[in-house]
Amino acid sequence: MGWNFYNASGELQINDGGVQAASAVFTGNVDLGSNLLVGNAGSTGIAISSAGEVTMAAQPGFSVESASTQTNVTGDGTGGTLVYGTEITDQNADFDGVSTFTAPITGNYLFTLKVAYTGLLATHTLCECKFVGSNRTSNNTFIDPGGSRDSNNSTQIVHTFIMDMDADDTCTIQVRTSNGTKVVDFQTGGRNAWQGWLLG
Amino acid sequence: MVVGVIMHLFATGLVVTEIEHKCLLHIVSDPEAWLTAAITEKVRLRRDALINEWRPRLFADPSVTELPANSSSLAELIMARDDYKTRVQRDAAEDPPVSTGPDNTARYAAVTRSGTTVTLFPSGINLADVDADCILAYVQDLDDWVYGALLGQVNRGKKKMIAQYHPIILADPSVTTMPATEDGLINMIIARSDYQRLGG
Repeated sequence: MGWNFYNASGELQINDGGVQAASAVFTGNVDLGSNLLVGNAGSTGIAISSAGEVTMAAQPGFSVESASTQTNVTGDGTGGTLVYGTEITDQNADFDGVSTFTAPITGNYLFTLKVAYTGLLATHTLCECKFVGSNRTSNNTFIDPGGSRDSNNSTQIVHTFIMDMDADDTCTIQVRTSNGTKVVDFQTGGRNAWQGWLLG
Repeated sequence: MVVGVIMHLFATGLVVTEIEHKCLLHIVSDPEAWLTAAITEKVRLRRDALINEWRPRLFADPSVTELPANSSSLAELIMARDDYKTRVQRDAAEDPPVSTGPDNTARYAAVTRSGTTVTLFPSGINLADVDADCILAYVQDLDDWVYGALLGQVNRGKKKMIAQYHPIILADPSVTTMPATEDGLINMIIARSDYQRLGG
């Protein structure tokens, strides 16, 4: 018995003495004339096109936006959880359509966030925006949003964070504005957007 | 079998709706086995994180002359130290105190679970105290974490089921109308002769 390299369907399958090899090691390059497809029978997973473009159709990642203005969420020091009703993408079905991302696998996740405040008063001198994960909370503090608001009493802040998450951990976005009354709203659409991606 | 001092979670079980149960079964063959494994993995990850975080401090502490050679005893030693704080204790010591984490308990409670339901773990979930404490080194509320894991998997099963079968239904000439609710669509999908849960 020797080596053979194809199964009965003509697909590449490395066999040693009739037994399918558990792994293969190449000491040089593997040069494919077409796509390399890994996972789920080639339909998803990692795909490398013949032009070298790498796509990962099932890689956990989401992009969501606010579907409506959220009114009177904060302003008096009480906090609220932001809601994202519009899903642009949710590649692995990990966002619940409302507020919560659940990590499907343990890893480091890059989160980017745009928060558009409106209805700010001059007295609103402190706001916090938090990535609230199961293992830790990343708190971003913004001083004097009331002082830096535009003529529409609005301002927009961008945050990023890489969060270590275990499988089945959750993450939400919480906001809290202080030193005024509870009249701070959060705008609808792409100005209020949250994106997350599994880095590895 | 859990040995030692035991924390008993969800003494009367975890109730899910029939639809939630179908969504779970779409993605895992045995929801109780999946959740048990998820908790076990969470314990392992947090115990390892705890040890990795504390190892340099233990090595630098001249009062520590020897360390246990197994991870469970090492974690117990760390958590018995005067300078150790749980996540809740650390959050309370912050100025200002860190507010509560992801409110998965409220998300779970927001769903009415009457009519036909399924009770997972009807006798509750047993977890060794030391294992629960490893999670609580990082997580504010263990029950809340379990709710988050459960709801995340329900959501994932639901979205993957609909993403897979909605196009099939739209292309099926024998189907003339579709239910206008998510629950109705899920029941329609499950009733199809070609329905298969993920993995067959």
